[in-house]
Amino acid sequence: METLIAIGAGIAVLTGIGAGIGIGLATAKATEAIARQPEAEGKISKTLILGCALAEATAIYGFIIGLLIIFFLQ
Amino acid sequence: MEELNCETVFTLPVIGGISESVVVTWIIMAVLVLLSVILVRNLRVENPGKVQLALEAAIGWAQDFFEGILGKENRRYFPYLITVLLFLGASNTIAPLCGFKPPTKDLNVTAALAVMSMCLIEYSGIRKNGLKHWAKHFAQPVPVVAPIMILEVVIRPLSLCMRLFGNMLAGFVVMELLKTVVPVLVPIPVSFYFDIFDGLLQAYVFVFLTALFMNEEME
Amino acid sequence: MLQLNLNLVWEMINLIVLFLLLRHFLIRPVTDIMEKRKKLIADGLQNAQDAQNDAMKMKQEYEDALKGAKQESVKILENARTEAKSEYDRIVGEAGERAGSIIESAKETVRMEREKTMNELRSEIAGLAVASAGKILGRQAGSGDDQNLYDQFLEEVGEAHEDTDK
Repeated sequence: METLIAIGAGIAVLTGIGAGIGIGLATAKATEAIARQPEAEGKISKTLILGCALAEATAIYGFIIGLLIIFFLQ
Repeated sequence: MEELNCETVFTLPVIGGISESVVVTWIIMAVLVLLSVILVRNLRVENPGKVQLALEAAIGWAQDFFEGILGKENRRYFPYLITVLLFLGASNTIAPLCGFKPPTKDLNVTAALAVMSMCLIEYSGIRKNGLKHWAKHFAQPVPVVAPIMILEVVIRPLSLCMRLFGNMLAGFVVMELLKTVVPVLVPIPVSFYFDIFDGLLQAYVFVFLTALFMNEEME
Repeated sequence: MLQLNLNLVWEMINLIVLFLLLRHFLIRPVTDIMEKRKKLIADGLQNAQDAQNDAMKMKQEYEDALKGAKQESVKILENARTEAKSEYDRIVGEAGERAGSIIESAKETVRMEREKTMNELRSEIAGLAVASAGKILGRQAGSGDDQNLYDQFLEEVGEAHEDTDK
């Protein structure tokens, strides 16, 4: 049983893959944008932080689901 | 596993258990208020000291930041947002600075913050556009989306709450694991990332998103 | 850690209290000071602007006064010139008139003198001619036809003389 719980929690935390890819893409584009228009850096980084926070949320949800699985299925 | 739980520090007769995070919050409050009383004590209009200049720069930066999102006419919300920014900044970075467990890793704290944010978001919308318009905007642009719009009222603070809680808890867990594996020297740089940088970033993101949602609601 | 309980309410109360305290002790004083400083700077700028405006106004007034004086002097000069011109014209005209009248009166006098002389001469010549004719013709003297003839002759002569005189 405990093995299954651990596997389930691990699978839940796999959401981090999506968040990682998303944040990576966003940062790549932001870097390109800053290279093209260095004077708009403030606005771009603000938008980047917002996008990263929103993309990161999925990873956080996966993490919380993992925690819930561990704590409430024991 | 013991570290993750919030212990009940003491139990009052009628009210019930007071958890650790509430006590840490009290400490943070006391420190913040004392610091502000000491720093604000002798402010001068002319020839300001270095401390006053730094203080004014910080408050001015925060006000400019919120003004950029909310606009000049919503100045009345700035003090609350600055308070939340200061509180989150202090409570997220308190672990490496003072050795307390960060109160934001307790779901109660983040939920309280999120509920306050939700009230503020809806209040700002009602105050700006009136109750009728606020009730009507759920059916915009088509009435079919009304359930989703109503759900959004709950989802936005839930997302705020869970983001902050998850980030802080993840950072805390990683730090605890690292401390059990390598107790010396190695946790210091890692702590700078997980506690200081991530903590300040999450505080920034929390108030940024709150202000953004408020702005969205006031349109 | 993952359960919600009454602590949520305490946290909310904590937050509200912290908000009120910080607003009273930190944000309001600092904002007030910043506003005051902004106002001070704005006042200074306004004062400087006012002073500059005053200086500009004074300069404008001086320039106006100078311009007025110049115009006045030009007008006075012009007036003097026109007056002098009219005086000159008047004097010259008067002099001309007087000279004309003098010449006219002189001419008149001369003409009257001549006429008088002429009339005298005419009557004398006529008398002389009558006398001489009476002397020459003798008995035919006193005839009215002859007298008329002489008069006619003399008139023609006088007219011819007048024509050449003119």
